[in-house]
Amino acid sequence: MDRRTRGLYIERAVWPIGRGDRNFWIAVAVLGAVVAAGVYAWIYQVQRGLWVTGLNQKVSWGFYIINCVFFIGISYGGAMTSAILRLTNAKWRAPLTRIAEATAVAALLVGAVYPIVDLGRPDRFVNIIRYAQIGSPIVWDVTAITTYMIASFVFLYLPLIPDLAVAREALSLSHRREAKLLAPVYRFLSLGWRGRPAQERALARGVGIMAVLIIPLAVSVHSVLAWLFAVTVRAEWHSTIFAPLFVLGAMFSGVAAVIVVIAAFRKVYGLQRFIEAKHFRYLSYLLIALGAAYIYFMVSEYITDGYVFEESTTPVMEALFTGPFAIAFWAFSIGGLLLPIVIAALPGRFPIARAVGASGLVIAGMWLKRFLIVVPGMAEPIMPWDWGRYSPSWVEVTITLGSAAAIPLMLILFFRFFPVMSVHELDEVEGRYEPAHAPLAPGYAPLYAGGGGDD
Amino acid sequence: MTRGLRVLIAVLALVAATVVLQLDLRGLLPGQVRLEAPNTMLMSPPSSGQGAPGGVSAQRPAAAAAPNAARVQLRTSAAASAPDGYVLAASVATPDGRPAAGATVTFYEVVDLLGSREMLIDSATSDGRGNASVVYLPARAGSHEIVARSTGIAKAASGEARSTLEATVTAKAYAPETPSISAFYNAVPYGVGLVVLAVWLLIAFALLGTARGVVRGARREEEKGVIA
Repeated sequence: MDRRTRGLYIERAVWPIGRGDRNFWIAVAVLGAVVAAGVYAWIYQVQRGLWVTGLNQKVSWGFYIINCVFFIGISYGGAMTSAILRLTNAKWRAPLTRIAEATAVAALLVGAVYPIVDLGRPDRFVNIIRYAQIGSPIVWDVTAITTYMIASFVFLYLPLIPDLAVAREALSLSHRREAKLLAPVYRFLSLGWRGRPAQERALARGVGIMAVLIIPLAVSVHSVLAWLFAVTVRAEWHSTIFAPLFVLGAMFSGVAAVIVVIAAFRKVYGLQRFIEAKHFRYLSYLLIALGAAYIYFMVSEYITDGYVFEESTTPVMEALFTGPFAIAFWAFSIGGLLLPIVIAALPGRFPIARAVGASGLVIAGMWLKRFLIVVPGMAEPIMPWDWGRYSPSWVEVTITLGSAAAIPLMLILFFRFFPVMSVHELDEVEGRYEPAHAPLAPGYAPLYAGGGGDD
Repeated sequence: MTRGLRVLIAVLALVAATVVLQLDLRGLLPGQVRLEAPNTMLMSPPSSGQGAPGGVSAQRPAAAAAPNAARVQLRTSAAASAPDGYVLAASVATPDGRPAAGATVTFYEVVDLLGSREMLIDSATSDGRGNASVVYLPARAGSHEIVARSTGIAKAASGEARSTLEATVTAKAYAPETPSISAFYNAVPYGVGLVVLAVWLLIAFALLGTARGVVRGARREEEKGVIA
């Protein structure tokens, strides 16, 4: 890669640091207000108890558990995308990994809060640790999520070390007040990075370990979440396929979320020159493969249950296919599963718009799918009583919206202090920059012709 | 805005509308919280009327019974075989005092489970003398408030009687049979614990090892600079 392209790349990567224009503050204010509304609703619930929610004696798991599974799934997709791209040494990964890793951490922080929200009494969370029962899936869950969270932070931080040095150097030339304030922080966090071979070796080893480790960790977290359901005797939950189905669903929705987040930052931060249509095409391929695999798993699950018409599972299947949950089920199956695959797979123009549209449908559809797992499974009576009903209250809806807004808020705040694209990754995949008179690297040659994407 | 994008937005809006309709999000304005009525099949809210506490078998009449209500008397006594627990015996009579045969008498215990409510014990049909009884083995020792309620008597409303049972004999605590692979079960937590510990150590190694390598690399360079 030539010096000029690298310079442009670095300029874009560190551009948002310490910069707060009007749009930034408007975004922070709007998202902050939604998050504040969510926090208010949670405080309201803590003061009055869980009766202010739509949860009841029969359907005691609702929006909170749905959101927990959903957001941790999103996190999983971010971590997996980055780890897989690193391990397969995908040459096109450089501008994407940082956003994927940050999305993973932000979504995990939101998802991990939900078990506490669902408890009703947050102070009782300590009891899970004080009176831990090793046989309890909740203890497995807390252990897995905590481990995964620590690993995600480390996985975000390690590749950031060289980029913090880049940011340190870039900001040393700036006369902005923020630059002066942030310089010592970058100096401390970059650990004196100079890009020496010994440093490169240490970093490659650490990042390699984490890239390998994060995959089984993420699988374990979502498997444990699935076992929370599967080790009960409830219809449709007590299934051996639940853990792989959850893992696959998490990857599917996670990759979709990564596509949406990358598209948003590409647009807002002006990264079009570096995040091109080809990146969205490759991620769309991943989305299509995961969607196809999810369809296979889902069909496998339903055909196994449905063929024998087992007494316990048949009512739930009826409720899903033709009963009160049929609209949601078919909306998910067609609008959230089949349609996005078709949209993403069709050749033609607007690959970015199609990838983003398909991803939006997948995200909405996979949230609906979690609803269809949690609520009908809970509502079906396993004792001789009527079906339960569930209507979320304004408290649950507000907390859900607040937590959803917390993810973009955390991301834009994070990227105000840290480079949005990985410079070190770029050097790794493209090689160190060549002298200015060297021929342009083929991947970035169109930049000088005013190109930068076919969308 | 391109046509394709407009179509996508329309589809997304359609999905969102479907979600809203499916989730029945109407009436979600602050303060409008709808809760399901508690289940009444096995548990039901208790009837009004409080009795005197204590006593081995304190018979208490139903409070504010309807004029045409069946008359119910409830007695509790130890079962013939002590481990079986207690006999809850109800005598049911028509409003004019004649024994009521064929009436269904349902016995409940008043419990405090997510609020005070009645737990179904069992039901029995009254014989020619109007007597119906069940055997009850409580799960815990101490005072139990028992309710007997009769139904199925022609031209008579449901009657009710309450009594307090002081139980000293209780059912044994549930203890599952030890499975043959229990030795394996017992070892699982240690195995899982070791795996978790190994993972944490690996994370620590990745973080601290990298930090150490980077800092050392920087120091070496500084030292070289000083020597030069």
